[in-house]
Amino acid sequence: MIESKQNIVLQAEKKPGLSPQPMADPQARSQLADFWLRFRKHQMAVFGSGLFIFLVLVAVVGPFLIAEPKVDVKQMSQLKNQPPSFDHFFGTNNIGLDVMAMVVHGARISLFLSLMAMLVACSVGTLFGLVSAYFGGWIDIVLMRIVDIFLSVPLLIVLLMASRFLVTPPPPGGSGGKIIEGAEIRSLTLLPLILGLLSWPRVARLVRSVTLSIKEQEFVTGARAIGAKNNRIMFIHILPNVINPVVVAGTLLIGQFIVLESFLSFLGYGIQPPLRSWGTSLADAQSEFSAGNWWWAFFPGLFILLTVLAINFIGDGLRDALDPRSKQR
Amino acid sequence: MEPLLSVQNLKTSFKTDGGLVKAVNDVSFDLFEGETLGIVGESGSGKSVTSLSIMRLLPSPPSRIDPDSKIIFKGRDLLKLKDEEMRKIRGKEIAMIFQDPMTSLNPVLTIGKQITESLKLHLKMDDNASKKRAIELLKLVGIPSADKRLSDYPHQFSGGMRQRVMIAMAISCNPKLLIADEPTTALDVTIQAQILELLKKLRNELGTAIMLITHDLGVVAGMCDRIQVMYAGKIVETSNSKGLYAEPRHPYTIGLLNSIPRLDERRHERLIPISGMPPDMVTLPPGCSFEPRCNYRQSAICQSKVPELREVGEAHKAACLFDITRDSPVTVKTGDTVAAETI
Repeated sequence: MIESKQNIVLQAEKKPGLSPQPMADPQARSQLADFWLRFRKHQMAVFGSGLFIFLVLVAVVGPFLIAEPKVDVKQMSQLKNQPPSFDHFFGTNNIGLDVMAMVVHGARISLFLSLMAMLVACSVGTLFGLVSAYFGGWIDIVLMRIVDIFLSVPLLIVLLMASRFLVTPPPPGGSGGKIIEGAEIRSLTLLPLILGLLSWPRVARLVRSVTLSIKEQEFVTGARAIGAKNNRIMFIHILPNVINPVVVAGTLLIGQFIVLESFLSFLGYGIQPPLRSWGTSLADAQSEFSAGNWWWAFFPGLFILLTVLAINFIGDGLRDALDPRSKQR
Repeated sequence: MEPLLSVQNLKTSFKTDGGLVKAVNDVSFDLFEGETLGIVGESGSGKSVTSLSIMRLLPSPPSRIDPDSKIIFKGRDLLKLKDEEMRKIRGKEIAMIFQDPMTSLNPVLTIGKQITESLKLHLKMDDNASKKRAIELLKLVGIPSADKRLSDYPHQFSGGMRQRVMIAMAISCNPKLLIADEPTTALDVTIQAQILELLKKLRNELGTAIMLITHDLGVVAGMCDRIQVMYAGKIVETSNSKGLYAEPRHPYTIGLLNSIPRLDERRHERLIPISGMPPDMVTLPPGCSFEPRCNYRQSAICQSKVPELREVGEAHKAACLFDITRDSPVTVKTGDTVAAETI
């Protein structure tokens, strides 16, 4: 292929009068097409993407189709603890809320929260890793010690400390919760921040290690040789070369965050009522599960499982498709 | 005439765990406007470090350029410039072509983006103007359908084509000096000839001074006005190219020429290799660094005195204590050298 290309070139040079053959090699694919070809071969990844798109649709469109679950006080006794049926595909919970509505509305919160946390983790981590590896020396040492400090902070301790901002505390001396204004909004903004800020060190280390090898390559010297500034070299020349592993890590992080969010909500440190995530639905169901009303816990759990599974499949596919070493078709 | 580039007593060293490596050890030379200078030497002889020192592209630490060194370019000492001023010279006044076109282009940026970068940076061109100029440049270096190829990525080009793109990038701002660091080493022979032809053409059309660094005496032969041979961080011989091939005056140059097959010689004649290994740059011998491998050596003298570069003919300098020519009798037989090496 290269030889034939060379021939065309030689001919084109020899006969400048003739219109040059279009050089665009039909075999040469754009990077995106190349990526798609390799991704497509990964069947599980394609399946995962389909599943994930479905889940995103559920989160985005679902709430418009299925009304927000509301307590109907009059009919509560008839509606509560219904097993799955044609009226309620996923059954109802102990106060007569439709579990499917809970799952659909929870999807929005769960996915949004983990996506935000992923963005925080990836942007902070990438910036730290890039700067640290590019400049090296004492900057590297200082930044990496900060990373070490963050890596050694246990998640639960931070959340316990942050809980007074996150959790609606019971009013002192009184029983019955009085909802503090804005606690649920706070939980929605603070939780991604906390999750993201506790996870960026891993991304930073990853980006640092990739940058260290990229910056030794000749094209970086080349960029310096044409007089490019440090910022330009870092963000225009190096960043696109390190973004692939970040994409993979970020995808897998979303899965982790969905699980983490459920875990935290289960413990009561996560999303605050009246907002509902898959995690909070699970948490509410914990007492009912043993009573035999399995559906209340089963369906949110199933969705968590499906999402994480889909994301992990996508992550695996991305890793293979974005790896420049797997150039073969 | 004032030289375009004047390198004076350049000493570049690297701190390594094994000790101080004096990669370039007191090198001085001038390069005039429009001139083509060839720098020849084996790996580790300091030719690339010389060029990277001129561009100030060596990371420091571990590299260190001696404060007494001077690199005067158009009347200004590059080593004294601030980083900001140096950036304005890189790419605009002095451009560089690298050895391996496979790694010297950024794989994730389109060719167009990479060529227009220095145009936008130095000449402050806008998108349209720089794109136009990029197409002109690609045509100039002989890339067909240049306008269509701007949006292609490096992996869609063959090695020779990539080197052409590199050259287009390097000449984009009409630099006064083009440093070509082994521009053809990674290419096969046909492409190598094409690239050299292109460099010659550009030199004649644009009047750019070229510093051509190579380990291949054949590459510089037809191309350079002057040739400098480097060994162990020093210039051991410099001459106009005719003189160097006709009358080499340094044992190393003689050895290099003897080890190249010639078309005009009888076929059954054997090539004579240079025996031994390049010296360890940390522990250089006290006298002449080529002495252990030299076929003409007189050990007692050669080991005690460092030969200075001295006039041996018209515009011809060599760094040898003796007046060696091709016809000088060999004092050491090759067998002896090998024996000496093994001890």
